[in-house]
Amino acid sequence: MLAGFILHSVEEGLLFGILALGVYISFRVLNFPDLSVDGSYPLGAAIAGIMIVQGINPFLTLPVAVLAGALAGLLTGILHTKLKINPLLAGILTMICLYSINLRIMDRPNISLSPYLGHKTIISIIKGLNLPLKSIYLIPLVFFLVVLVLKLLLDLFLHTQLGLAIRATGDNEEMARAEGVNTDTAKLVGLSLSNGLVALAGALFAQYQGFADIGMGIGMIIAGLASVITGEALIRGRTISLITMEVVVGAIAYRLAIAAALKWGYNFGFKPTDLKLLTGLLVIIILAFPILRTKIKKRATKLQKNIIRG
Amino acid sequence: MLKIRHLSKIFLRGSVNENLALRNINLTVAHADFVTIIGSNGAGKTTLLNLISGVYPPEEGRIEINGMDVTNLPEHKRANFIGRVFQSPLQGTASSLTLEENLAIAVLRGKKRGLRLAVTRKKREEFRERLRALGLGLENRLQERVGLLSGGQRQALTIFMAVFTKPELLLLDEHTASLDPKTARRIISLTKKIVAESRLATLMVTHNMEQALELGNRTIVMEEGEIIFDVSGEDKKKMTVKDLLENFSQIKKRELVEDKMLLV
Ligand SMILES: Nc1ncnc2c1ncn2[C@@H]1O[C@H](COP(=O)(O)OP(=O)(O)O)[C@@H](O)[C@H]1O
Ligand SMILES: [Mg+2]
Repeated sequence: MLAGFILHSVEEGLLFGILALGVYISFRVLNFPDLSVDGSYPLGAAIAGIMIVQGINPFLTLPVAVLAGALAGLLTGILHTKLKINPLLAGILTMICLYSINLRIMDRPNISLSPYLGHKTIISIIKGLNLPLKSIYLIPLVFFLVVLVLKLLLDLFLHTQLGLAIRATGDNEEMARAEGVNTDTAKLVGLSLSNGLVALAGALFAQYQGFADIGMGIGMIIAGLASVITGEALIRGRTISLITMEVVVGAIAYRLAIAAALKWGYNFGFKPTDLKLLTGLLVIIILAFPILRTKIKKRATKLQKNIIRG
Repeated sequence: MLKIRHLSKIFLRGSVNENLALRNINLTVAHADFVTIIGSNGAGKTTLLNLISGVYPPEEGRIEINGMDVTNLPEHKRANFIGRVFQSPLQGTASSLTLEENLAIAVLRGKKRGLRLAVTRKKREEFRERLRALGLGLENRLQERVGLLSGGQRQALTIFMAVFTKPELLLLDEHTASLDPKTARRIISLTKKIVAESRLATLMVTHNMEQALELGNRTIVMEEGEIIFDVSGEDKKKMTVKDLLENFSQIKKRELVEDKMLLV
């Protein structure tokens, strides 16, 4: 029972890990608070949903979702670099446009992907593979391998000439331009990659949960950010490979924490609908932690002094 | 080498804070010229360097490098010909990247950045060799993040990066102003050495008159967006800080007189 609960959260956490890697690229590598995520995540889900319902091979949904997500990221990037719209607003504009686009893609607010309706998803195909491993272990294993490959590819990319140009742009735009980096291009590539990953996460998650829903993107940016900062709080890595690892670990930890809060939280009056509230609170606590810590320390030293004096 | 014609820059045009930062600047710099620039705060020195490097476009005028009109060339493309060192060591390097990663960014100035590994073993060796020649011990810290270096070391690294790909023009904007005196002296002698070795045209802004006269073969003085004084060659060698100040006050007086005449 508990094992099942943990496995389930880990599976979700691994998929969120993909989302979190995307958010890491925009927020941390590029230093660009990109809110398009709330639109590109359901975009991936919508594409997976509609393709699967039409009987297309579910594996094909993945590259299409990545491409669409990348285009969404590109839109945000163009709004910012060419039209000089501020990053937050550019992301929100893309997000709001995507809401209608996603509805058009799905043609309804919700698409059910059920084996009982004869829909083939990646999950149902893997489960039907008749491997010696029990399917409850197979799914997390597959997810783990997918995330691992993506993480390693991202690590590699961030050490290429282009990847380094993107990192320099996020770190010090003035220096990057002085060293001949086309920072506009760097941002466009980075945002495309970021939203491509986010849409991939959406496409996989829709198949995993068995439906695509127009509302499933709400708060995803905060979920991704929560994963990133949870990971940072847990590990504090300095090298790229450590940091991307902590992002994925952070996503799993975040899902576990949220699932636990929802499962046992009813004792304290929590309801399943409080999920977003919990996520928000978690992010607030982690963000506020450094400030609270110094405040508490100051208090403590003051108290100590008073005691000594007193 | 560098030719500037009728260059003007207006900040916040059309607002109450409209600011004519550069007025009709004309300046020609020859190939191995080492020009020092002085002038009071707000004279437009940084603005001039920013216009040359393409940070923002001028309102009027034209900039040529080696006969090529670069007035409308974007900043990252001009980096091909221009190496830059800023006032703050934080400006010229990326803190979260390692030393070798910063260098890897710099060596690709003017080249396409693709999906090849940025720091290869071969490049690392090249970096190590050339850094060793610098004699600052940086060759042993290639894999450290630049944020861990001191201000002087970062500034030395920035100079090194600025000239690594042998640009045509080196722009130094008060690049020792935020360092302690001892480190500043070290960076100045490093600057001298590098400029002498690479024989590139150099514009160096400084707030130190003595330094301005000691370094380079030409000194220009800027005031309120204009070049008000320009001395080079033997005249410059003979010039002392006192002469400079006298000249300076004479020019100021003349301006004052002209202003009064206007009022009359
Ligand atoms: N980005 C900017 N926006 C508005 N005004 C500026 C900007 N940069 C410089 N200025 C103004 O232009 C004038 C020249 O500045 P600057 O070139 O930095 O002087 P200096 O480097 O000689 O001290 C100053 O009055 C300054 O306030
Ligand atoms: Mg200045």
